[in-house]
Amino acid sequence: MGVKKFIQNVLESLKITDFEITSKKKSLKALLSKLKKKRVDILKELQKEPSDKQKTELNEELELISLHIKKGKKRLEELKRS
Amino acid sequence: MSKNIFLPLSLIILGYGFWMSPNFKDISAGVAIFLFGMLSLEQGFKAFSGGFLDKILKNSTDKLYKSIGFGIVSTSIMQSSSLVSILTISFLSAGLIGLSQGIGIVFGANLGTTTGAWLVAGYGLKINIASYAMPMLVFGIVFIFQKSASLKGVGYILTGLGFLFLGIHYMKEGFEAFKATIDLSAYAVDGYKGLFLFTLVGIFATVIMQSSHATLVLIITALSAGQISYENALALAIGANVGTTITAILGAMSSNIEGKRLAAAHLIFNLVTGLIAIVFIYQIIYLVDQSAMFLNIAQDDYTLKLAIFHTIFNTIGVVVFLETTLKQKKSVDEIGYDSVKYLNDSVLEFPQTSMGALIRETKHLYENAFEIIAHGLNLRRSKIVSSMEIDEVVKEKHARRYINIEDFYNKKIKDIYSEIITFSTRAQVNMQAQDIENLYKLKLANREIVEAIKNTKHLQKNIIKFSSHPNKYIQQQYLQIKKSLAELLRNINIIATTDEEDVIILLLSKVRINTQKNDLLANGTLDELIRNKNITNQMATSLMNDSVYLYNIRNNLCNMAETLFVQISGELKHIEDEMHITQSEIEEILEKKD
Repeated sequence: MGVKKFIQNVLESLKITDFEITSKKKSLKALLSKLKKKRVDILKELQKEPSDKQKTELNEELELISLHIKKGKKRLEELKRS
Repeated sequence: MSKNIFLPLSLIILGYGFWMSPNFKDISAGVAIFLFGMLSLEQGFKAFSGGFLDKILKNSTDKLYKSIGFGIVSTSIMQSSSLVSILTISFLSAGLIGLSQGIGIVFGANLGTTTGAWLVAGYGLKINIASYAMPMLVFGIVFIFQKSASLKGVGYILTGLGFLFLGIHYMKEGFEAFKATIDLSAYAVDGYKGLFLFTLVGIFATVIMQSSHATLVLIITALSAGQISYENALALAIGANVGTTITAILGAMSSNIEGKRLAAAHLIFNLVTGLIAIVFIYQIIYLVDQSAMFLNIAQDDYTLKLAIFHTIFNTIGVVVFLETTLKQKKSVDEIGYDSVKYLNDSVLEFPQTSMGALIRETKHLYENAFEIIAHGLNLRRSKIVSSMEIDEVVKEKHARRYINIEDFYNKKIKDIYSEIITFSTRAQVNMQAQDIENLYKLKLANREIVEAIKNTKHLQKNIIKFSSHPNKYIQQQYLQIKKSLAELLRNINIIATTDEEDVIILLLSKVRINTQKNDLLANGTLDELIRNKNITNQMATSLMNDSVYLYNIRNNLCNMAETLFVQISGELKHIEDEMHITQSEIEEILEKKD
């Protein structure tokens, strides 16, 4: 038995073959939680009636955050299903 | 090998020295406390960078005459040119001032030190700054324990000064034993031989006593007692001026490269001034006699004549150096060849170590590229990475002239890049498929860095031409290009230094969107300028070409940052691909805005 096959067998017997997926899920969850917190912060800032320039910047950032949250959630769902 | 031996050997030598000589222990402790003071001082000034102190320093040193004036006034008040030089080095290290401003302050400090000569000669005054050390330490520590960042900064500055004074005090204590052996009359010699000899004695005495003021007192005492001739006393004063640079050199040991350059400039200035004074000593003596007559100073009042001499020779030095300041600055700024830091055969054995070394070397290459791009656009690196508004950053010039990017590329990029590529080929032999894939990405990142510099070189020509062009429309466009790149460099610096994954992901997306947004061809700016006849056809062609260079530089650096700081070495390497913003998403966002 080759070294690669041996490692594969050990991983399968210890049921850690989806290690990569688990770590991806963990990283994604952590990132999503930070992004959500940031979204809340920006929404709070927007309620404080900022200047027009600040408002534009905050809205742009909010749009980006929402896009990334959407992407992150979608990917997380895919990982959960796999 | 030699590096491994150096530390234990130094410790053994120091330990033996402490055991053999209590004076040596005092001197070493003095140097250690002094350097610790420098670190504390630097930390204190960093607390004020970008704020109140930054503004004061900027306004009082933005012109050469202002920085000289600042040096004169501060040295006259503090009565120590060494202390002013050290503070200047701290300002430089904290990024509060630039090298040329630092040189101006040091020139001024040399002139300011003549007020000390007048005080000593005229009134026998000697201000002992070391007596303030203890109160400064106590107040400093009290401030450090406060919550406010500004008070903490004040605390670090006070403790820094306290430690500096304490360090100087210990050094002086340690040298007391040597001081007793200085008998000036033993060296009395006439002519130029005597002049050089006494200059050396002056240097030595000042290094020992850590104060040109103390040497001046010694000279005046010896002169009054008839131990030395008037000419010998003048040579001693010249030597004291050179010897006083040792404190700044010591201070520069713990500072960054700019601080070291300033200490070198200080030494060069005082050495050259000293040489001029020795060569033209008899002409200066004549000038001193004439000035003494004019000021109603008795011809045999040698102590006051010594003060006049001190003022004249330092003024001559400043006048000479004012002419050559820019040339001198250029010589201390002269770029040297840079070579690889992390690549060597010992790391080639394992794929992980060779990969680690290659990543570090690529980061090193990017640091050099950052310097070249920033200075190529005449922007200051310290301001780019600060929190200063980008509009203000582009207004602050790095130097009078734009740098020669080709020259910098040859000296700071070319060799390192070629070493990285050669080393990668050798490292690849021991690597698995996944590592080889990462190595390929890394090589591409290196290529992006090089491409970005080459594109900046093309862009630079028209930036120089149009940045101060009378046509406001074209000038505005090139200012916008500079702003776009300054903002890009700032964002990449944040990506490279932060641990926050959300910040990295959002910044990368923002940079990509802004690249599209700043594309003058795509956003219609160029069409509008041509349609309204705001710019000539020739200007339009230049702007069109440069818009492509800007677009390429932004893409080059963005791709590099994504690979180097995220995909290969960052915490996000598992998920970056999933979160990467696509071209269609960028277009969608931009369309919404339109």
